[in-house]
Amino acid sequence: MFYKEFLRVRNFFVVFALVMMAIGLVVLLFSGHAKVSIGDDSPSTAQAEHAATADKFGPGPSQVHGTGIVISNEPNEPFPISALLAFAGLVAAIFATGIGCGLACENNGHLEIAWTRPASRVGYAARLMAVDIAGILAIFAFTVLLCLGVIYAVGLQHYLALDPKVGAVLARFLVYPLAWYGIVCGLTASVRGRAGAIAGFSWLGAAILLALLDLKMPPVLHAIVKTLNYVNPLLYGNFASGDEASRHIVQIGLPISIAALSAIAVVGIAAALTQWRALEA
Amino acid sequence: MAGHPEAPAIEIAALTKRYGATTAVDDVSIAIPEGTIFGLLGTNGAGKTTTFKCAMGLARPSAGSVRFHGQALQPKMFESMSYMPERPALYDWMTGMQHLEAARRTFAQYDRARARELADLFALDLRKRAGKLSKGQQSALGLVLAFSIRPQVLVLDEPSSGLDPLHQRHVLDLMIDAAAGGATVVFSSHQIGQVERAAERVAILHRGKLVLEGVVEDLKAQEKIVEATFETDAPTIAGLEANASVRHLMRQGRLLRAYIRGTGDGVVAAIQAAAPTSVRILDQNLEDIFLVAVGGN
Repeated sequence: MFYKEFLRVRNFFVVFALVMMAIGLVVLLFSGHAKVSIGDDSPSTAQAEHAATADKFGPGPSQVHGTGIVISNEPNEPFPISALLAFAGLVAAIFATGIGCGLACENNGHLEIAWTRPASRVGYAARLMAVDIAGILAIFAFTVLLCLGVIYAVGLQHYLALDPKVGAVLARFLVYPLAWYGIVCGLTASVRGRAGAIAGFSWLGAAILLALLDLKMPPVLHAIVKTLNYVNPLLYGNFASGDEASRHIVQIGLPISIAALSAIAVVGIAAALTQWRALEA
Repeated sequence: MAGHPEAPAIEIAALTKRYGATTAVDDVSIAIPEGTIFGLLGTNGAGKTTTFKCAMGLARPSAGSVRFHGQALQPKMFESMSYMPERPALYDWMTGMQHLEAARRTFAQYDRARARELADLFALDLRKRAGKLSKGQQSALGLVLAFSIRPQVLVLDEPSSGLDPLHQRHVLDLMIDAAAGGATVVFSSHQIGQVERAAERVAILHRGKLVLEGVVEDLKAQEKIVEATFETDAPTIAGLEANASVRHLMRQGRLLRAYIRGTGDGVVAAIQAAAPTSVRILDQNLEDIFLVAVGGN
């Protein structure tokens, strides 16, 4: 029963994974903190520079001799795991925006197949969403692993630092893409044909809405913008690990962020299911 | 399929479907006995597809009901029911094989060997993505999916659309074979010859209303054409149009045709009184019956 849904998410996943791996390769080759030479095992300028600064930054593998790639780097501060989780959350959120149009795609000429199976409408939609969510979590895990792989490949693993609230940050960035998924599902479930555009512009809309918070405007308008931003996932996307995670004028703590993102996801999905039930082919 | 065995396989009762101010289906009632092939005829926009959609639960009736063996439609009934829409709702990005695999994992009664046999019958390349198939091949894939679960109820909206004459014949054979096995087949088609060949019963919809329904052979036996030719232009014959048995009257130059129901004795006598050069009584075929029913010439 999950076959078609699995194929759809798998196709998205493969495309995303390839893009992420390409980005990872580019980072490996052209990292801003690294000087790279390819296909040359002779001592490079980078290695010479590294040797000169080794005492300053202490021990640690800052050179990699791999398959013809030589990298040196000069980190001087710990790299928080939270930032890595935030990046994975961002990637998963973009992925979620893409696959969040699943119900809209069904509504674009496939209801005759989708609704003539021995499953209820809600059962069908729930199954589709369950596979989507599994895909979102999988791309999150893949991104984290890929980033860790890149970090290990360039020998920066010793600079990875565990934040005290990394568990909560992980929770935040696991529900962050789900909130985007909920929003896109809720906005597009009953749309026929324009769902991709809506999903794409949802990021632009969210960014504009967030930026408006910083603008001076009449109190009434500001109150409206502030209220709208409470359902804006970008508001809760700060990767700071503490409760001080403040952004613009709205003060949002980590637990509140997790709860708000979860609520956005649940409400979005519920709205999508409600629309789905009311549709006609 | 569970339910009341004595009840019709499909019973459409006072079905009405409105879209805003437009009434797509207007108080249609049809009972389809189990194991029959039922043809639904109508011009474009007559309400055939909307009737099918209401029957399959894809659209909500504004009034009336559709029951299968006396029971309202439930999702589990689709285990033994197939619906093929007018435009195959296939996923362009999936191959034919993937569509079949999805059906295998969805329907307990899916018959893999049957699906293979049907794919060969329609010369389908199952490795191709649906989006790369021609319209006819997409219809064929839809048919393979519909028949491969060996359904007890088949609802096919224009099943021959886009198919070549050879494959159109295969569709007829498949429907006849399914009905012989006890399945109830309901289909629509603009190719009246196909309907006449396959269907035991027909209904004709016109502008959302049911204008005629019955057993094909009975309808043909009841409906006759009185065709008369005159030396000059066909005259207007007093009282002919008012005759209750005359369903349609056509005058074209020297030719007069009266489409009648029943024996039409009074009609023949009235026409003969106008001194025609010849009078013939012909059987109507289904196309004649259809054209008269929808008011066409």
